[in-house]
Order: sequence, then structure tokens, then C-alpha cells
Amino acid sequence: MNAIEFKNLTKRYTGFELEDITFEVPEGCIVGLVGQNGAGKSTTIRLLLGLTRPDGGEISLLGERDRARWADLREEIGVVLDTVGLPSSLKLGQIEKVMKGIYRNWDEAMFRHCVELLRIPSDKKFHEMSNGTKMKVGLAVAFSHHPRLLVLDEATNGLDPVAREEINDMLLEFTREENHSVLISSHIVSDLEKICDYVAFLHEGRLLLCEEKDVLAQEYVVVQGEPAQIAALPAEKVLHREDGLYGSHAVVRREAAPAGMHMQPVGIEELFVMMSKEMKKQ
Amino acid sequence: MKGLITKDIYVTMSAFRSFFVFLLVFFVVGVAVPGTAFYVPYLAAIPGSLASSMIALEERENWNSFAGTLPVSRRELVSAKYLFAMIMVSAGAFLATLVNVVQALRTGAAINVIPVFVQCFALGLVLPSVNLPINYVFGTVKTRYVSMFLIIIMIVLAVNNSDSQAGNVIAVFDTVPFWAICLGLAVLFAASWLFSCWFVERKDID
Repeated sequence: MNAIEFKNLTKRYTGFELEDITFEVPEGCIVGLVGQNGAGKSTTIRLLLGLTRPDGGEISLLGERDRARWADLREEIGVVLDTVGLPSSLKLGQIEKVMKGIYRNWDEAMFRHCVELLRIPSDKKFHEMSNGTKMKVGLAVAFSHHPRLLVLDEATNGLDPVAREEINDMLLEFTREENHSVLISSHIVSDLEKICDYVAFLHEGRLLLCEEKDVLAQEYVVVQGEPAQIAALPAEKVLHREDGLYGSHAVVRREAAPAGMHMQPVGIEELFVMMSKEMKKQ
Repeated sequence: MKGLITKDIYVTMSAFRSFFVFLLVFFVVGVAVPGTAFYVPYLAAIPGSLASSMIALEERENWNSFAGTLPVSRRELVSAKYLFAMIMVSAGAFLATLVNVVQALRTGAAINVIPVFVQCFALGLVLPSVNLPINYVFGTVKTRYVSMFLIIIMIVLAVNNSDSQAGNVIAVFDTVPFWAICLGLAVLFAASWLFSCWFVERKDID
């Protein structure tokens, strides 16, 4: 079963259109939503959370397509938005009491565990915390009501590498349960590369691809050679090519890479950058 | 719902402390200085403005988006704000009644605790009844102008009536039957709540 299904999702704003988005988040998986600023990541997430209404298409959230029933379903969803949004004048203990009054499944022990693990100071008001610590509070809240699905919108941005690593570990631990899933958007593609099972690339409101991370790594390679060699590659198999002073390189489908040409595996970040550049050229 | 009200009360205690100072000043002046019956409406009106101030703060802190991800319906989000307004206005009406009792004891006028409380409570609900739907529809900036306008009207009414006996807060209460005013304001409050729910349920959250 899929935790989330987007089918032909469309949303139009003045100067921006999210166009015909179709992809799934399977249960037990982490799906990374990658894209530049303004690609439509946050819009996709806001549509999923019911904050915004789509102009077309449909969304299935934990098997439920009827938006009217999503309020109850949100008991099973942990969300951290890029702005967190918790009341700035409250201290950690007060935030906990508020959340305890909202979530039926609120687990005080789990919250304390997260607070300790993420080293969140309990004596500071929310607005006195650094951006990274605010994100950690948001994550602690998201984890502490035993969600089945986590939705994180740029939630690890602003965190130091050690904290990001700890959160990545928490996410991996979370998805050990078969029915737990994560949809995470981030600019830090290297983090997504470490934890994601699937990667979805958004560019200017369009979904360029959504594929298993391992399949992407198998399907595409970077080839290097003389400009003429690279130019001779079949155009339909080339994702993007770049010519430099000392030669050219291109991301191509593995089957199109000629024998003898220098080849290296492609990382998700490199793939994302190359695809974005190609889209800009077009 | 319980968590939403808890949040509003915590935020009031920490972010709107000056509001308590205002209330205390008006209360002390109302109790200590003879002939200050015209202060009484302030005690009911000021808490009535808190729900709007809370919405403005929430807008600034991006609470609305976060609240939209919680397991509560849009209707519950709106209802919590109206309930919060009622709690705050009740507290203000209680203080206003206390001032009124002290003033009545001082002047020897009849003490009418329940009617005075109900009058102040009903009066205090006018502001959120008008402001909250405007807040939801137009945002917080335009609502401020409406609030100022309403407060000025209340002050004018109160000052014009400052010679009246303690217990008669605003002259209009003398001319229209008591039950009719309470019913009218209750209908206004209910209509305001229904409209706000209807609007917010159809609105995209920014």
C-alpha cells in the first residue's frame, strides 16, 4: 500500500503552475523531494496537508481520498514545515502541554527522549532558540505522537552536520517499521542521498522524474571525453552535457555509454544539477 | 480544542502581559476613584480585542500553517478562537461587575450583579463578533482600523452616559429591553462564528 498517492495534481498561482504531478510514497519508504527554490516542493506538501486546495487531480493520504476526513488522519502524521510555526513566546514545557491537549496519542516519554537526544534546552522560550534548535523542537513534536507518516519540508536546513546526521538516523530508525513512511523535501541533496529510497525531482512545477535511488544510480553514469566523442552520443540518451577547457562530460543512460570511454557513477546531487541545467537550456 | 485554548492562554500570559497591566490600572481606578462608571466598558472591551491580537500574532509566527497540519478541523480552529474570546470577555466582565458593585456600594445604588455581568459580557462580545470574521476575511491589518473605530464608538457612548447611575453602563440598555439586547448580541456572536467557520473552511491557509 502507498502512504501517499499524487495523481495528476495541478495547482495554479499567478506566475506559477504545479503541473500534472503524479507519484507515490510507498509504505516503509523515505521519498526525497528535490528541486530548486520555486520548483513546487512546498506547494506539493501544502496540497498534501490540505492547507491548499488543488485545481485538479487527486491525493490519497494514508488510503483516504476524501479531504473532509483528513483532520482525523492528521493524528497519524508528523509534520515539520520550513517555518516550524510554534508559538514563539512559549517554553518547551508549555509547548508539550499544548501538544498533549491536541494529540490523542501524545507520548511524554517519547518527547523527553527526543529532547534529550537532540539536546534541546528546556529553559528557553521558542523565539530565543536558534533556527536549528527550533527545527529540532518541531521534529521532537512530530515524532512524539507516534505518527505513521512524517512530512518534512526543508526541516533539516539550518541544522549543523552532526544534528542532521542524528535526524537522518532517527528517520532511518522510524522507517524500520513496515507501515512508516517519510516524505522529505530538502536542498541538501547529499543528505537525501544517504537516507532516501526514492527521489522525486521537481523543476518549475513539473515532475522530471521519480525513481528508486538505486535504479537512478544504475541507469545513469557520467562519461568524460573529447567534445567530439561526447557530441557523438545519441541525443535521446544524454541527460545533459557540459563542455570545458580540458574536455567534456555528460550524464547519459548507462547503455549509451560507449566502451572505452571514461565512466564514473553519478550521484543524486550531480544528477539533479545536470537535469536542472538541461531544463534551463530548453 | 483543549490544546488550542491552552495555547492561547499561555501565549496571552507570556506575550500580552501589558494587557494585564491595562486591566489592573482600569480596575484599580474604577474601584478607587468615585464617579468612574464610564471606565467599566473598557474592562469588558479590552479582553474582547485579545482574540484579534492573537490572530495577528499567529499570522506573524506562521502558526496558521502549523495549526492546519494538526488533527483538528478548520471549524475547531475557529471555534477555539471564539471560545477564547468568551473566556477573556468573561474575565473582563467579572472585573467590570466588581467595579460596578463597589461603585454601587459607594453611591448607595441598587446592586444588580447578574444584569451588570451579562451587560458587560454581551458588550465585550461585540468586538470579537465584528473583528474575528473581518480578520479571517481581510487579514489583521484592516481589522485594526475597525477595532479602533469600534472602541471610539464605545468610549463616546460611555462618556455620554457617564452621569448615569452605576449599573447602567450604556444608555442604550435603558431604552431597549434587557433580554432583547442580550439576545441580539448572542445572535450577532453566533452569526459571526458561523460565518467565520464557513469562510475558513473554504480558504487556503497561507
